[in-house]
Amino acid sequence: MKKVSSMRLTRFLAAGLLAALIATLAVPVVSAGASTSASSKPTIIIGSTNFEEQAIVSNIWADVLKKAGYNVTVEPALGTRAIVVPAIEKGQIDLEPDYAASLLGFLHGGNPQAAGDNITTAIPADQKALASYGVTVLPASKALDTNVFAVTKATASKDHLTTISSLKPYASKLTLGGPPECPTFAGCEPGLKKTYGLTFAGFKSLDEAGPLSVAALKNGEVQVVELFSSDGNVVSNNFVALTDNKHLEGADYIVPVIRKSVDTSGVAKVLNNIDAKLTTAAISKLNLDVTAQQEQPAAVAQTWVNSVS
Amino acid sequence: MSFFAHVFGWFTTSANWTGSQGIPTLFWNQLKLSVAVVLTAICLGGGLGVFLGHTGRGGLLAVNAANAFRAVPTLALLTLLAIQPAISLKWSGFLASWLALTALAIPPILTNTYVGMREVDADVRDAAKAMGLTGGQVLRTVEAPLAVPFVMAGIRTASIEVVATSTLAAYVSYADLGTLVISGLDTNDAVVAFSGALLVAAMAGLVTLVLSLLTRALTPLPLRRRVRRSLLGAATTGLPAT
Repeated sequence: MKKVSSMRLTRFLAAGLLAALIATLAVPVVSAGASTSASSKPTIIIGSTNFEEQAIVSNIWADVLKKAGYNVTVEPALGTRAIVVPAIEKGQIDLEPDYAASLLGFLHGGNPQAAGDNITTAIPADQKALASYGVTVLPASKALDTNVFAVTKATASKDHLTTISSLKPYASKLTLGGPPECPTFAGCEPGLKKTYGLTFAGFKSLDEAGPLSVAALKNGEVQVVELFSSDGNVVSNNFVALTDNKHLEGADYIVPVIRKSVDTSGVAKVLNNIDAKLTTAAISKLNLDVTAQQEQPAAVAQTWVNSVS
Repeated sequence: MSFFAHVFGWFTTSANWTGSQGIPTLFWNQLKLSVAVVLTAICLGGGLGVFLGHTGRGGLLAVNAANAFRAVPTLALLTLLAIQPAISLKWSGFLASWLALTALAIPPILTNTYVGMREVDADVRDAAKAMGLTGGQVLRTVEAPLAVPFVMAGIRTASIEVVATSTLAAYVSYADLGTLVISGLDTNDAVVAFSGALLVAAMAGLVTLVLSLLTRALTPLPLRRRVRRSLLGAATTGLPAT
């Protein structure tokens, strides 16, 4: 039976609360990649950001690297790019899946770079920006995943919306939904304003193209929402992804960002082999398995790796 | 510049004190949500606790059921509610947050109210009955005043939990101090996240202070000294699960 809580308890709770809040500030701590393995093959720590596709790709790479005899640890959902990129720059993780053009924009203070429009220029530009940290970028996979701005079919047909430009007369009456970093992310709200001249009636902070974003659009809480092109949600919910007619989004192919210390020819070969098979269609299907069929990213990844190798 | 100088700089930037994302608005939104949640939980949990404690029937079952409910993660409940079309992000996310947090606040209030009611000395209750007091009179004039310290302890526990946890409401687009914490973490801006956390801690302190004064005011005079003594020596078991 509970005894009465004391004043001390309350004070203790208040102090504990403060401590807990301070603790939440600490960026996710990733165990440093100290390899205990005596073999020549190093332990590779794969980190990823906080949405399903990232978890799937991390697990795909982990599976193929393990098969090739490497020790691999997966650290999923560390946070946004603003957490993961500094982590690899500091050597807290060794490998992370990223998107060539968005990464380039991030590395340039959130400003989209012209080099990001084409994958052949985006990768050298990424490599250049990361070189001083001992980090490089391997050749891109065949999977393209850009941010898309989606509306419901009803909104699209009512206002004859097909492209992002066609939002222009309506934007001031529409609410935009997206991840919390959207107001500061070049490919999101600032880009829509700068490239398309769109100013929305309001912004609602949701998740990274996750269940909240989908539900908010479906329920009419927002009229335009940021989703991902390779994400099955657009198709499975009958949403309309507006065409990016002014090319706000760049060549966001999935690329391995890797520390040079683990970028041996063996590792590169393993990753390049699997990435050559990772197409937009393939990753879209895997995303759908996770979001619509509620399968686990690791299980989905393993099944796919076994089916292609 | 040191980290704390940056935090000081953030607090002294006038832009952070105005508009829909300004400190006063965010603070007020969080306080509004927390107060609404605790008042609802007092009505539901407190009401049920008084009823069960007074009648003495089915109480243990209800209290244990409520405590089992503490295991439900608030974030999961919040997300689940927010994706229901009927609730969604209505009232700018207030509705889903209010419901999810109320589920968090009920157990400590219910448990403490029930225990407070049952801890009333049976002799006192019998004496009141023997003097001819009706059930309602016993409740109002004997049981309720004696249970005040317990009930208020439950309310304080719930309030602190709610103030701290209502930061999650920002996840369903409700603009409160959690907005600072979440966007700070998302953009790797520790200064903003820390400032948000500091404001939450300040609110928790404020709420504790107000409730302590209220507890003192509501506790019957003859009980005050005894309560203080027993509180100082009390075993602090039953730390609430979060």
